Amino acid sequence: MDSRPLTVSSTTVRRPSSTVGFVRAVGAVAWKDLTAEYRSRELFSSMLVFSLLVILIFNFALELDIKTRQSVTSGVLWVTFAFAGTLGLNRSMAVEKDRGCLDGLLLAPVDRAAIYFGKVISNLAFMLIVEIVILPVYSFLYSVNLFNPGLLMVILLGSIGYIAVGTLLASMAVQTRTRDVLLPILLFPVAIPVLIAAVKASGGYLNGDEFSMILPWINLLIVYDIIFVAIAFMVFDYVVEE
Amino acid sequence: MINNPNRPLRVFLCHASNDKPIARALYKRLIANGIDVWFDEEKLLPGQYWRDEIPRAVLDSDAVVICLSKNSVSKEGYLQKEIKAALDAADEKPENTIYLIPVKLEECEVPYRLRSWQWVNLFFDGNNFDESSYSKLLRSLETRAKAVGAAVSVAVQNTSVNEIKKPDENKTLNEDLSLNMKQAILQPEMKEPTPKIYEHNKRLTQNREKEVNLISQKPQNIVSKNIATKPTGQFSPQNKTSDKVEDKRDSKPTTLKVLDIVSVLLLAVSTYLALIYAPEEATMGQVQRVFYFHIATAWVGMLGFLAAAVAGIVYLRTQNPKWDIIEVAAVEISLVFFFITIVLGSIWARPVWNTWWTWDPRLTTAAITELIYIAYFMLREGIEDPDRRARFGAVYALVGSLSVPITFFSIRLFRTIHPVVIGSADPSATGTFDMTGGMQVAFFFALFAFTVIFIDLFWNRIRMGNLAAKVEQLKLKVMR
Repeated sequence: MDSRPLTVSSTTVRRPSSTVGFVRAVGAVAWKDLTAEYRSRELFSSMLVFSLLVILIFNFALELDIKTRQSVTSGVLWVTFAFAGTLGLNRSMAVEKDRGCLDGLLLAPVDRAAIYFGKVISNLAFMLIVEIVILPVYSFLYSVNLFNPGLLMVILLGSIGYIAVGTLLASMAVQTRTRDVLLPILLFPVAIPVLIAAVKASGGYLNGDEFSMILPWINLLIVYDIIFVAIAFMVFDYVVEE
Repeated sequence: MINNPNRPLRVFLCHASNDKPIARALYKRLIANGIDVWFDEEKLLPGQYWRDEIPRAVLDSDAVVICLSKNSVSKEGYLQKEIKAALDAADEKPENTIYLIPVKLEECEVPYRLRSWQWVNLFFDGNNFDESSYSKLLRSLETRAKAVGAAVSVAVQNTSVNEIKKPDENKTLNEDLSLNMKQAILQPEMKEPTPKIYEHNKRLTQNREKEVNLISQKPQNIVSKNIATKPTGQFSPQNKTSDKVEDKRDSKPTTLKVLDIVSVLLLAVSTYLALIYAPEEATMGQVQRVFYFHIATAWVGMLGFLAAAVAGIVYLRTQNPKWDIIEVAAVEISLVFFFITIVLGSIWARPVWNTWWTWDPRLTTAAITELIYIAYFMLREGIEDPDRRARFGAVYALVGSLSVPITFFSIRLFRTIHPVVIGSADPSATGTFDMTGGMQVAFFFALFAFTVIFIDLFWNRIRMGNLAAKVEQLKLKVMR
């Protein structure tokens, strides 16, 4: 279904000895996922519908009237993104595992890190697409203006951190007996700093706070992103090793 | 096996066919001492199906003497199967039973599966065995005979040894049969259940063997209480102090036992200091006494957390299962101590902060750490393959240990009300106090006591992990 070998075999036969080769391998893995998703649209539709439902439920749970909206919008948005992200991460890895596609990927003569970054890029793409759809819908439903370049940057930074560590943990979770049930349990406690920082920074932008007040949170987001991309890059080999 | 008090001790003599002349000499000596020795050229009747007969003989014996020489150690052949049958039978005996007795006929390397058993050097000079070594072997057999209620006559009837014929003259039909058949019919065997688990356990075994070798070089560890040792001056160092063939590798080290007792005493003293000795705090009153153990347990929790992260990194680099055991030990201890810290903190917070719980950075961080640890164990639960379980555990411990400090800083960007007793005090914190002399004594003593307790628990837990790995290994052996 999703994961026909597609372009992988044709573009990654050469062992990448250079940066160019590495980038090509990353691109091939990401492109494979995006093409598969473009053809099935399974992941995107489920993530989107799920996000809308979460927002709907929050509406009833929190009584999102005008006053509360101001203070909770960033929280609601990030909880929605986190849940949808978990859904996407699980699906993207489960698809690889189901038909032995992961083994095929690992057999490809490319650096394992290229597979990791390819996966990160495709997962990040799915999450960003969902966010791009959700933001206007939320603005429309609750008449809050979410089009703020700062906010969009925070959402990007937060998503990168969340997906960086999420991709690593998802590739561990799919190899366990409990599979997708385990991912949120593994991911949420580890991803708490990124969620806190993202919620705080988004809240700052929505409330029109001064940049100096938001800056520490953005710094924290950047630090988190760097640390977790680096660590995942270093340990990914051990996670997919057979 | 019937326990007839007058029956002779049954001994299986396991040897390579190339060592037949020496084995025959040993056989005659043992027979002279009234031992019923199963020796293939005597006991196997022409036409008997020896492949069935030999394992049965091993099972029927009270003890198995394994003759080791350069021939037997390096040789592939039925001997290895006999040794395996004997090892399997030895696994079913209670600990400290003398059952397997490796006998070195010449200087050679002891196969590693046999190294756990004390061997005896019984060198043969062509005519005679070294008498003192032989009497040691005999004493071992005697001890075994007492245990199973069989008889051995110790009176040395030194008759037959010199009358050995040259091997060529003595070649019977039987021996030809066994020689030829043994070499002809051998087939590779051993189906391993799950190769990965087997590999993993093999690595563990190798580690343990190294330790066992170290131990067996220390004479005091294998001193036998039952049998008086006679100095003879002819023994190799391994045999100087031990007559009893014994395996002590699983008993608790004395240092650890002492540490157990010291830990309990320290805990008692520390309790006294915290609850009685230390002066009462002026504003908070008695509840402040919780503080001593609260900090001490938090400190231990941090230690365990660090130890787990370090062990995780080392495991990923070395892939040595020992570090996995250490990591699990550290995480388990840390999980419990952080929980105690949280409970003690809540008890203190109720009167001082007027709430059981608040989302203060330290409290939140402690709670998240607990959640990460719980997730860690859930992750491990879900993986069957021990190598992968260890790898994933190490990766998650590492990711968690990076995330927790960031969590702490991120929450600290809010204002905290948690008091900072040591270091710079934040004036906005509620419940700050200065430590006076008596308080300091109680405080530092508690820190020290809990550090010792941590080391003690850590050690015990690692030991338990090793034993669990061994049990796992024995289970696999049975499955095979």
